[in-house]
Amino acid sequence: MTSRDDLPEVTILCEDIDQERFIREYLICRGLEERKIKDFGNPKGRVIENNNASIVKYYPALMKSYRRTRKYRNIAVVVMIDADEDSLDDRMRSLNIALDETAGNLNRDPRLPNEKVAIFVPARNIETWFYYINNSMEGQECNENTDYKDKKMSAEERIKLAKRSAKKLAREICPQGVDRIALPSLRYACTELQRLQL
Amino acid sequence: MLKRIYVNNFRCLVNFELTVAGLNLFMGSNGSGKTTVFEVLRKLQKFILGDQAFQQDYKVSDLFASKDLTRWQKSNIQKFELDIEGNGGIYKYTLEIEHQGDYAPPRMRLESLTFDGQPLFNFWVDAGDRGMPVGQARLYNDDPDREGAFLPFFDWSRSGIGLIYERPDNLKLTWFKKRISNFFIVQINPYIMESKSLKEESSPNWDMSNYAAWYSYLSQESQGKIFKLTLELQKIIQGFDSFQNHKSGDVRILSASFTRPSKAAYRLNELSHGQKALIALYTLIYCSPDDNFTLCIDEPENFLALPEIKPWWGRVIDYCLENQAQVMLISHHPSLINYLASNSGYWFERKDNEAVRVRRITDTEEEGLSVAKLIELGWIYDE
Repeated sequence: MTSRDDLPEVTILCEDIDQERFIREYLICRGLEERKIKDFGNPKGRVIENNNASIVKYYPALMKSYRRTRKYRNIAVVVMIDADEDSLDDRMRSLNIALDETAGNLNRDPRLPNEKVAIFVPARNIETWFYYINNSMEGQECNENTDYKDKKMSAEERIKLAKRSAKKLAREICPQGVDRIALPSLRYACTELQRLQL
Repeated sequence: MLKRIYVNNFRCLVNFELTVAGLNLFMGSNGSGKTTVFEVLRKLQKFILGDQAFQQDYKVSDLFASKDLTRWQKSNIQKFELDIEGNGGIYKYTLEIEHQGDYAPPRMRLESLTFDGQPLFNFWVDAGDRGMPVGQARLYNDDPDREGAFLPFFDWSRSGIGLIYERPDNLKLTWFKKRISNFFIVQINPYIMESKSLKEESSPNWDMSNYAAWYSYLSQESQGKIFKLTLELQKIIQGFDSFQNHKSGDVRILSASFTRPSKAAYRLNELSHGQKALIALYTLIYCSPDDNFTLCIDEPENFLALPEIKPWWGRVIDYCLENQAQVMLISHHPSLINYLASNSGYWFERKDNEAVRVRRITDTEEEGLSVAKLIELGWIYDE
């Protein structure tokens, strides 16, 4: 797919390299140029651990600079944070409170409708999405409570899985329509994706 | 200190004007013109003084090539201006170079130096007899009420100011030349830092390849500074004890003695690139002139381990404050950028490969991202 000049430059704030490669590959499949996709950087140095506290920590600063920069640059932000043992709503709420305590506590989303900021919350984690994407078509059951993470996988294998899953999602699953996606957190992510105006 | 530089029609610098302060950090994308500013300063220094390290004079044609004219400009005239504060006033140096195509060498069209508006030297081209252009110059002396000497047939192939020697009545002009010699402009390349020196050289060259020759000079002329440098390097480089600069036939060989794990000496070129870069960077601080001095370093962080960058930079700031020195750095390093950019940062940019524009960094905001992070994400300026 050729890139389009009207597509935004996207910055990814996420927990680890699996998530970053997944989002990057998906955006490339949607027509974004590789150099237009920037990684915010993992402040902990890419250790694959539960890293969601750092996402909540950096999200407000990123948003503050985004709001200033978007006035003169076509930019977008993708945030990804695993739900882990909490719910999707809990994670959204903690990000909303971090950005605007008052709005967040009132269960309001402080993002403006025209802000190109998408928040993806895989439940239970990104491996759930990988499992769903790669197995749902074969009719295997997938739920958001089971931890599908295979701790024996090497970094290379995880990256390959992330990229393969992103391609399959973009080329085979999304074209069938959001309504066909049974996994709630992935279906919700598709509505968030519309914020990027790709 | 250098207050202002103006360049027109030199590579990507078109009608380019930059005012600078004591501490300056140049940032920007690759190819945005940062190093070109240093190259202009080097060319002007060489043009006015010759190459001190190699005791060589330069003609216009040695330094200014038509390939350095801005490719998309039609004019064949390049213009350079420097405003330098010092000696109780402001010096303004102006140089215009006229390129004459492939069949004639470039020549000076104008060279002038003023001090607080008072002329010290002026070269210009006049239409002579039979319409042939003739270079003419006037050399003024320090007393503005005395008329200067008119020089009717002046060589336009080299700097007039460079030819003038110090006399009791031209101390203002010679102060300027001394100040120009106190620009140390370097891009340290430890790969070619040799341990051998054939002679002493009074300043480092651009890539610091003559470090050993500069050290030979410093060890003769500035023993106190070398002593301080040695004490500092003992703290920085594990096991380092001192330098030895032994004569071996016609050359001297610079070695570093180490005390741990056992006493041993290593030639300069046997040290790691990082160690050589550290030695060069600390020598620039400890062994530079005592005052009225400008240090221009292109990417000092190259080759350094992360923990070494801030301590070196701390020393630079101390040195500047103590000695009224000026520092201009080009850096892409986040720790230098975050430390300096909000007060001393200049952002170089070239939209669509056009001429360079420079802005002072004003983009810092409370609670937002750091300047280095904004640069990393491409979120700085370029609107």
